[in-house]
Formats: sequence, structure tokens, C-alpha cells
Amino acid sequence: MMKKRKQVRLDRWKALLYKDICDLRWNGQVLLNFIGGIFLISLLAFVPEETISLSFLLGFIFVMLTMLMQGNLMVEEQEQRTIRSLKQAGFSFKEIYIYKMIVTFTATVLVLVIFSVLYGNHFLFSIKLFILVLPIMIIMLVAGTFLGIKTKNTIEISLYGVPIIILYFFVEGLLMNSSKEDMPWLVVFPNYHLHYGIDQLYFNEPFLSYLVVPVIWMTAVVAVFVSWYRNQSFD
Amino acid sequence: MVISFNQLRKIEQNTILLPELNLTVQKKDIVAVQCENEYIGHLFDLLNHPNQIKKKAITLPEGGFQNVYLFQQTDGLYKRLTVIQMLKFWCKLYQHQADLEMILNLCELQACASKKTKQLTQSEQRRLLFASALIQQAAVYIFEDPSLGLDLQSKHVLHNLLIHLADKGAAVLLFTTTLEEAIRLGNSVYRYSNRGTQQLEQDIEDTEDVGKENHEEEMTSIQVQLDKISAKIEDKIILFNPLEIDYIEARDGQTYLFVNDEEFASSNTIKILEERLQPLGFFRCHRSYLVNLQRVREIIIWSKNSYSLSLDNPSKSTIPLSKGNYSKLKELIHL
Repeated sequence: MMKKRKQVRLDRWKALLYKDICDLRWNGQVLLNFIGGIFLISLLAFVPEETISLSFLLGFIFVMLTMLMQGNLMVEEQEQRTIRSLKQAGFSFKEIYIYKMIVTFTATVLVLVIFSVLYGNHFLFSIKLFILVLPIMIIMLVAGTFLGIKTKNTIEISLYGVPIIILYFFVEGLLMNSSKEDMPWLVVFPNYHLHYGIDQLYFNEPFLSYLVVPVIWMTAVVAVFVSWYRNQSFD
Repeated sequence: MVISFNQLRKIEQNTILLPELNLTVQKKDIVAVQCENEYIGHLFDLLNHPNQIKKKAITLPEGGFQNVYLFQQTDGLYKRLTVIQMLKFWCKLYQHQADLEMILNLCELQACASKKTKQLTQSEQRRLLFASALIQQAAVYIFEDPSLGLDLQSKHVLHNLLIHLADKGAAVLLFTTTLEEAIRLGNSVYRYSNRGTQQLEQDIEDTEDVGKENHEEEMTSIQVQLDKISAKIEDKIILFNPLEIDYIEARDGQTYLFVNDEEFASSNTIKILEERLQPLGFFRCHRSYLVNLQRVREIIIWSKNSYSLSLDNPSKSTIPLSKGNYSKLKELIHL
């Protein structure tokens, strides 16, 4: 009985995957962010002078691709009024959101792989980089999910996503134009740790201490989101 | 019995949002319920939130709500998927290997199988949504005003679809705001109002004795002496020339005259009006309807048991024509 139920659930997820394979290749907003991200990292990979920090590039991917794609995927189910039929088929809201997160996560990882290949990073370096960026990636996934739940359409996703984008790149701009000692208070932001954590990786120095603050942020964001989500009545 | 509503109602802040609904639908039955739009809204709201329904207010088939298909006006489609991709997605979603060719044929979507759903017309989109009923295997199919805003072709498709579902052994229940659609689509027709659920008798003409027919023949030869039909609006009495009237409908124990898309309550019963207006070219096309034959533009044949009359009044109204009266009408107009 349990096995059968699992099989039914797996089949339903396969159905959603089939739908997204057919759908995402024509989704202009997702494609723009996806191809835009790849284009930017490809372009900067061949620029002779490294004028832009890697943390900026990664931030661009997480904000423009991860957060907005997750928000768009989520809100489109509401916008196209298809979520009721998914519920009728037995999906819970939680399942739908987790599925969307997996799709967005996979797309982000794909871009990160391309990033690693283009920048000639060896495998171990790429793994370390992935571990370093994971907390920020999850924060952006949660932010995108929140936007997807709270907004009504894809325009609102872009609109309400702007403050998060501005905040992220404001901090990133400060980091790029200052030294570690200039603004020590920046240490409270996860960007700081991504920015200097990448330097540690390049110098082959231990980087795990640079994970502490992002992990605290990630835990806090996830905890706040989960507690908010539990208080919502979606049914 | 497949599904039954047992005193299902919704009350909020001392206001009855949904009057008591008592209804049972059997296998292979197509039950059409005519009611107010807001009742349909509240009912579907309840069906979408089963936790708000009192215990025993709905008796469901085995498998509960998972075995109930709901069609709602607000349902949408994935706009970037083609028709065939949409059907395949539903097949995977409901784990059912359906004959897509048959579904495309039944829903008359062959011509647009490879079109994206956003490029379909509204009626084609609706037909595609109907197709999901053929894929989701359920014991009960409940439709929310399925014929609203449909073109003639899609109405035919809907009619065939309902018959197909009933033939497969499912129970079909549909809610609509117009009596005409309820009569056209349902095998059993109910009217659901704040007074509860009342079944409408259909094809009563079939059971009427021959004596009445003879009486009708006699009536045709009676010279008309009264040629004005009265209707009351507040404290005024309006007199209509009979030929101004498009049709007359009996509803909730009251008779209504339809003149230029306006509705006027008459104090006469439909039977009395029939007797008076028959010599002037009026025809009792259904138990609840009396039509001015001069206004009839088209006889629509939905199936061998289902007919409608399309009028050439400004709103292009359609009114039901019962099976028994179809042959009488054919004789009358020498068809």
C-alpha cells in the first residue's frame, strides 16, 4: 500500500517534470535570466583583466536567476489558474513548492557548472565553491518562494524582488570598493563571507569559517519562512 | 447511489449563503441543476474545501474526493504547452493511458492539436479543459456552468462528452444558471433555490392523453376575442400585444413574459396563456415554455432526444424544445 502510494507520488512528479520540460524552453522570463547569466559569466571569463569580482557574478546568478526564476515558477501556477487541477490530482501546496525549488536549484547548479568550466576551476575547487555558495543559494530560493506565494503575477515578482536585488548589490558594491578594514560592520552580511571566502579558496586557505555567518542567515531565513508558512491557510 | 448531498448548506453570520441542498445522483445519470450563480460559487467553494463540510452532508463514492472530478470556470491551462502536450501531461498526472486520438476527436480539437493553448480560442480552450474529464478517471463528474459563453460547436461537444461519461457508468452533475441549458443537458433537471431542491418534470406532454390533443385541435378553431396579455409591474398593469411577446416561461410558480429582452411577471398561468395564445401562433414547446413561433429562427438538434429553439430576438435566446413536442412542431410547420 505504502509502496503504491510512493509510486503514485513519483508518477505525479514525473508528470510535472514533463510539463516543465515542455514549458520552460518557451518561458521567456526564465530563459532571459538563464541565458543572461550564462552570457555574462561567459563574457567576463574572456575579459583579460578581472575587474569584476566573482562574488558579484555569483550574486548576479543567485538574485537574477535563482530568486526570480523560483518566484516566476511559483506565481505562474496561480496566474495561469492551474494550481487547482494539481491539487485535484493529489498534490499538496508543500509538494508543489518543493518541486519548484528542486527545478530552480537544478537550473542554478547547471549555471554554476558552466561557470566552473569556463573559469577553469578544478573539481575540488568547484565542490568547495558550491559548499560556500549553498547557504546564499538557499536564502534566495526561500526569498523566491516567499515572493511566489505573496504576489499575484510575474510583474509583481520583478517589482517586489527589486528591493532584495538593490540591497544585495548595494552591499556587494561596498565590498568591491573597500578593503576588509574599511567597513568592518559588513561582516554581518553573508555577501561579505562569500566575497572573502572565494579569496580564501583561490589562496587554498581554509574557508569553513566563512560559512558560519551565511549558515546563520540561512537558518534564520528558513526558520522564519517555515513559521510564517505554518500560519498561512492556503486551503 | 454514487453521490448524494444531504441537507448541505452554508451559513455565515446568520446569512444563508447556500440553502439546503438535497440531491442524489445515480450511476449513468446526468443531473442538471438550475440555480443562482452565487449558489454555484458557494457550492464549489465548499467542494474545494471539504474540511468545511459537515459530516454526512455529502455521501461520496469510494475513494472520497479523489474520485470526484470538478470542472470550474476558473480552471486554466499552461499557456506554453500545446494541446497534445497538455493531454499527455494530464495522462501522466492522473496515471491513465488514454486514447488521445479519441479524445481529440470527441472534443473536436484535431485541427489544433499542435497549437499552443494560448493561441486557442476561448471555446477551444474550454473544449480542451473538458478533455481533462476524459482523462481523469472518476466516479462522479461535477461541472460548474459548463456551457457558459460557449459557441454552438462546443455546446455539441459538451453534450456528447456528458453522454460519453454517463455511458461509461459515471454520475454526472452539472450546475447552471439557465433553465434552458439545464433542460438541454440533463436527463433529470432540478431547480435549486432558497426553497430547496425541486425536480422539474420533463416531457409531460408524452403522458398527456389523446383527449387533450383533440381539445387543442378544437381550440385552434375558436375565434380570439381577447387580444391583450397583461403583466404587472409594481402597481401598474401593462397590456401587451401578443405578437410582441417572444416567449413565456413558467418559473417558481410564476409566469414571465419575455418582450424585447425584458421580463414581466404575468398573473395568468402558462396553461391559460397557452389556451389564449395558441390560435395566434404560440406553441407549447416545453412544459415550462410557450413560444411565439413567429420569433423562431432555428431548431437546434443536439441529439435525437435533445432540441432547442433559437429565437431571432435581440439577445438570440434559446429555449428548450421537448422531445414530445418536436414531432408536434414538425407537423405544425409541415417539416
